[in-house]
Amino acid sequence: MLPLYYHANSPIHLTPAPYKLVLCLGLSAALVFIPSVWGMATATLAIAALYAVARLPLRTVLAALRPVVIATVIIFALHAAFSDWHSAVLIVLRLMALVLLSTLVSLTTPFSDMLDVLSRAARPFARFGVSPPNVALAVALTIRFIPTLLHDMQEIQRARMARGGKRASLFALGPLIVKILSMTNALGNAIAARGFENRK
Amino acid sequence: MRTQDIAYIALFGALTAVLGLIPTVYLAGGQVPISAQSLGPMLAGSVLGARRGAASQLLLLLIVASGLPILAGGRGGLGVFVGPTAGFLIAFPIAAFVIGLFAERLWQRLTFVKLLAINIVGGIIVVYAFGIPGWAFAAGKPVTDVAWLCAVFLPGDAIKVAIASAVGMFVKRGYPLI
Repeated sequence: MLPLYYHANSPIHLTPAPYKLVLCLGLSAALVFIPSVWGMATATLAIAALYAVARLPLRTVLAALRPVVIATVIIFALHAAFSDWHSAVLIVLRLMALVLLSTLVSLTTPFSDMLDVLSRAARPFARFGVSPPNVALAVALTIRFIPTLLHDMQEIQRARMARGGKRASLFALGPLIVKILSMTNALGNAIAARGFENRK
Repeated sequence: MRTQDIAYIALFGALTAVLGLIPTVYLAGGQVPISAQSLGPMLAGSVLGARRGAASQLLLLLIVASGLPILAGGRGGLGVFVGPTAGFLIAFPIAAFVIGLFAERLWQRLTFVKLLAINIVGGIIVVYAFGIPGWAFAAGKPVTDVAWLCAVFLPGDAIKVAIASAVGMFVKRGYPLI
């Protein structure tokens, strides 16, 4: 499991993450107000051209658009039944522009930079215990838990099979959660015992 | 918040990510894969309660937004928050909170049937209450059209609610945390 970030040397990569996020938000909001199909097509092409500026290979553009394909089919199906093609094309182009723009930010910003900006943006929630050290610990633990959970899930499924279960089942989540909760409790104690200070 | 709570929150964030990796239920003759990911908010709410459950889902969204592709189908990054399914994602923490709130209130007298009802409210009604308007906005169509489209997913959701409730009761007996 690798982050989306694609390393290259470009002005877009060098722009600090907060600026990119604010620009992305502003442009996304502006895109909603473009009324004509041609205007929207120009905007979409301009955003696609930014991928070239960022020195990203063509396949990243296609990969970014992959989730939009199914949505496009459904939108056209919905619109063809009731209304004009004009609005369907406009909406699909807008969707492509929005997804391309926000994916560009994700592709050109390293995971840790983005995490840093977003957890700083969450500072107003400090009174609920959302302090940067707590968020950092939680993120690190989550990423570490993913392979552990996959491993334990396989182990439990194999044990089911050995006892005569016919196929993998989601009911194995019960034993998995109970097993891993007791491990997590011990882990929490161990972190606290090593002096991780929790002010809230 | 204790350090254990941070660990529990991280655990359910990770569990929701792992559930997105295993496509399990197939609908319409194997044509429509339904990801198990939406089990995540249901389990987080009914095992951890409202606050920690919602926090675990917010943590997942934070990691997704930062660019780790841990949503079903290997999706991630900021793009998923402007796509047509953004409403469903935003609903995850809210669903976990609602389920957790009811589970906490009824904890001493919680039965499978009650948890089933709670999961229907939080895991189906709340999720679609945000998901359908999100779709409708992205597609530029009235909410009612999209609602009919979403009816396809209801059988899969029914299975997931049943699994989440059975697992929730199992964990309540084996390792109650609320």
